[in-house]
Amino acid sequence: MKLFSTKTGLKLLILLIISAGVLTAQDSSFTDANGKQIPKEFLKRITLELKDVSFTDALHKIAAAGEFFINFNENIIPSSRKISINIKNKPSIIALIEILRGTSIDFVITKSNQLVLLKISSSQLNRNKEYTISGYLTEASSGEAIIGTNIFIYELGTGGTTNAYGFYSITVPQGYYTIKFSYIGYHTEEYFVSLFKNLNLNVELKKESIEVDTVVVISEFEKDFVQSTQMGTISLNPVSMSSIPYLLGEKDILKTLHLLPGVTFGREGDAGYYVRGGEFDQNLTLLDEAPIYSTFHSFGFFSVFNPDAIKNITLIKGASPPKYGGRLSSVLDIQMNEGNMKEFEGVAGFGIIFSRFALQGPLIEDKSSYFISGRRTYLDIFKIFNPGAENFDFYFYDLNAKINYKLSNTDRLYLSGYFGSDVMGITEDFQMSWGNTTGTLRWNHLFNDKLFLNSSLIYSRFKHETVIGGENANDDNVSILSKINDITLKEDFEYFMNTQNTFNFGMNYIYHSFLPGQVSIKGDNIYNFIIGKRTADEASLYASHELTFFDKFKIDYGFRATLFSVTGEADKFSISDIEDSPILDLHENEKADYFRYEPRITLSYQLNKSSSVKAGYSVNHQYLHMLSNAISGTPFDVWQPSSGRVKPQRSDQTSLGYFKNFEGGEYEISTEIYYKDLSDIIDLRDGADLFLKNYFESELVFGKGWAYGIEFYLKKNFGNLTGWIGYSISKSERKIDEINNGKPYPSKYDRTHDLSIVTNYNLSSRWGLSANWVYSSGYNITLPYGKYNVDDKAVEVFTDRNGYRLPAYHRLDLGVSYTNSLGGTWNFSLYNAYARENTYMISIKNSDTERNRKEAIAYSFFSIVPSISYTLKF
Amino acid sequence: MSFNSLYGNFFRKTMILIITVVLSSCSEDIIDIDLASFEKSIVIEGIISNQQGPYTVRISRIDNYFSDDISHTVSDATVIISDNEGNSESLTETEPGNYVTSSFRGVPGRTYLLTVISEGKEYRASSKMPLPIEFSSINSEYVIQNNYNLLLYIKDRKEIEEFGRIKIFKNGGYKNEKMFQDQYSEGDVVLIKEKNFSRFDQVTIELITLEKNIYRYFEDLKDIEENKNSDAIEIIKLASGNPKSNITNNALGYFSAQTYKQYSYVIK
Repeated sequence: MKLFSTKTGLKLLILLIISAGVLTAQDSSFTDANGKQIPKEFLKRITLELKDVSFTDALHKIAAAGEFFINFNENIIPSSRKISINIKNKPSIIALIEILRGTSIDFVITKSNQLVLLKISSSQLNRNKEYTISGYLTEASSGEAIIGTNIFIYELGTGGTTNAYGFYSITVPQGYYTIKFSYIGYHTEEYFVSLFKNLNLNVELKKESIEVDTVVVISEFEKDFVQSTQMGTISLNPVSMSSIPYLLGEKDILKTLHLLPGVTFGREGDAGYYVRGGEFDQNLTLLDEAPIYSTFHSFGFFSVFNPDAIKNITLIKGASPPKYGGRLSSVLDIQMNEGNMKEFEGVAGFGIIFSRFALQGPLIEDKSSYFISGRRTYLDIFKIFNPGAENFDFYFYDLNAKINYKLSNTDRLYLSGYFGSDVMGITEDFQMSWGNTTGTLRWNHLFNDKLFLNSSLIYSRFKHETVIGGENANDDNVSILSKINDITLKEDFEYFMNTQNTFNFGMNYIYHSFLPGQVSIKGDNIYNFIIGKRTADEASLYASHELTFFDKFKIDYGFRATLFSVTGEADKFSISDIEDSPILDLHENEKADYFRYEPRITLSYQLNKSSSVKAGYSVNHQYLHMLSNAISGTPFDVWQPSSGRVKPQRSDQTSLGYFKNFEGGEYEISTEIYYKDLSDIIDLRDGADLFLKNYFESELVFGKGWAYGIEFYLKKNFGNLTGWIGYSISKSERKIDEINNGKPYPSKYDRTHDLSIVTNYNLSSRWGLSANWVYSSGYNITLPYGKYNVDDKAVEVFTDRNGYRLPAYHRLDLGVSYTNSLGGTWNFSLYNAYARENTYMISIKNSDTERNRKEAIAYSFFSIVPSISYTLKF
Repeated sequence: MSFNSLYGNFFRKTMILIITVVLSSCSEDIIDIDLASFEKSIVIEGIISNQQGPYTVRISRIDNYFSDDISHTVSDATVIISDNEGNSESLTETEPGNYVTSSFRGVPGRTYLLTVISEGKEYRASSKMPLPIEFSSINSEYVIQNNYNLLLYIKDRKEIEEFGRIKIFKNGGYKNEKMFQDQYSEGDVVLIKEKNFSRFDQVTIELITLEKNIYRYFEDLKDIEENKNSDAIEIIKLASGNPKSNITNNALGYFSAQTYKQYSYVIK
């Protein structure tokens, strides 16, 4: 009997691919070691149930059912072994692998299509020998990477996830395995592999069709939510957001975040977000790794992230992995679409406020693709509500673009950029514009199937410029410029040692330059007046190790160490307070260095297959601070580095959580409790005025704070009805000697209660209904409540800092969507359906009717706002 | 106008403009602010100086900000001023809320103690009368077309901290107030400039030397004053607070032992 490739055949046997369900062409992709297809004879789908039969019987029954011949020597058969299997509509070879599992028997197929069983020598049976299965996971129709997908090895009860570029690597002992790849909204793929060498397996997942009768099956193994060590982390993609009704019908990433527990908003319509009692500037917002310093358009009503351009969003509220750093509250990691590798695709959308488009397609099929999207307002939001504002001209736009190129199987390049701006003209010779520009160049490199490296070169700028005066170059004019620039170099390594051990390590270096203000006056002479120019170097090293032990425990521990060094003109202050007195030289060159070390640790314990408890501790420092003149989101926000006087702010967060899946992942529930200790926190001193004082640091005071709370999250993942309920109860306080006589006071965005209910119901494949309701305790303001006379002046008495809580905020939004046969979707929405007058702002005025009497005026922005938008896919 | 204030004023004005536009898109409602939970604190204002008495202590309570009430005076309080030399006097209420001394005399360098007992609560404050600051010279400069600046020079004494308020009167009427502190002067001659005088204007300058905490009190008061004139109060006022009083038991106001020195000058 001549066996083909007997020796190697034992080691490299087959890689078989089947997809549970309907018989597909994939069955023909069973191959043997030489890449030759396994004959069809062994692939006949069988259904077989055996209970406590002998090994020999089982072999014969499988061979009979599969209609093939099997040859073996009775001596190698374990006679005492009893076999029970239950195979439903699977290739017969799977049944064979199933019963051979755990024995020292393997099989080969001869040229004459005979299946021969062989005893494996003990050296070949070396159980400790490990092999790596790795590859990229992509979306079948577009070829785009799928991020954060769970990969589960059924036999080992363990697995991995794909990284930010869709790459995964799992190292396990040799053997036969069933591997499942599952991701919400996609068909689960199941692969049977015989792993006797390192294996490269690139997998494509197909989107679920949205037909209403399709029951979306999410693999029962999909429980990363429960299994991973990650806490306080929520991922969203624009698809999951599309059914939520939004203000003016425009879906908005940051406003979606408001609906999550532990995330709150500022005022009505505000796209700013505040995480677990933190401030706005304490969120690290990354777009393709580039920090975005101003995340708003039009004073906060829209965020700068065009949903068409976004592929995936991850918000980390709790212990963030050490590869992130530099902010206290949260990390919002936003990834842009890569572009379809297979075919051209386009989207165009028309709404009340703006039109948008997105185009993508291959440059070289399966090798290189592009993505480009843009949007621009054509109606000024204020004009809609206030036709009287004639001279007030306002618009904004966003442009996102990305190209990627596969250099080889191990190298890939990505180039992405974002450019957005708000432009405002109040009168003809007054122009103001502000916006972000970012660029990211990334290079993915695989050293081998376990070691992944991403190198990035990133540019980010926020600039605000005002020009007053003639439009002609020769005219006199005054221009005012304020900007922050960052250049970042990053190296991020991921080492997938085996299923128990994964390492992440790397470094990054950021060169920041700050120009808070430059006034140029051009006339007969040219004057330049610059304030607070500084530069800073921020260099960080990090490493972390994720270790699984005793099967049920997982620990991810690591550190981040940062050296922050600032040079430039320090603010020396106070004599300028004497108005018009000779100004001393207020700038002196300063250099300040800070070294900060941050331990990060998370631990999870698997209670059972569907539930776990987790704990986390992390330290974060913040080296840049945003000083906001009023509401955040105006172009007047100024970013400043830590300096000799302003130390980096610090947060120590401890959190504990319980996570559970039930009904096969249809529902997930989690609750997390956290406590944050804050030190070297910055706030504005009493009576601070950033308008009149250019030397901002004199307006700052420093102290400590704390925030704690508990969050509940119940989510229904599939079915006709989907959605979630998020609730948090929390407290956030600050304690600063100079404020409130040193007594603790609430932070501005301390919201005791915060509840969101988000629902979406599919009536049919064409009609969808959605509703959400939010309720939140009012935000805190400082208000005068009394008056008295002293020094012959009337003086106001203020409440404690943030001592007055505005009435609670609540709102109901409704939406209906209809998809026509052309693939276009109409969205109708009703924002603030019961016309709640939520306070946008409080102002105090002299009464019109009675002199000497003050009145508090509450401004509310939106009553019911109906809207309609149309999105067309082509 | 300096670049600093040009820059600051520009931003303030633009901000107000934007806010005005934003707010004009809003609906307005006059609302009742629930003030029940806020305490109607007592306000005490007491001054003792190196000048001839009588010295006055005024006592009142704060009023509801949203009412048109004038001031609520506090009567029948026990008010005692004493010094570290063993002198003491109980003040008499001459009109509602006004308590005056009869023979007490303030001396620079002494520490004074104020005790007020009203409605069962006791309030205390102490203040040390500083040595007076003096102008080293007073001058004026011609600017343009009968427009003069008044120049006041103070020679900073390096060894002591000095804080002062400078009240300027022109031809008998109050004109302006300047604040002075020597924190960054280190022995220099500091020039304080006041604009907009005409030739032969009769100028009276009152130089009041204060303790540091009282100086801070007036500085805070000035900040509040500067913030007061805007309509969009909550937005422009980033972080409003109350001046830090040197009186115990959560009383508002201040008790200051201070020195006065008066100067006259004719612009030429």
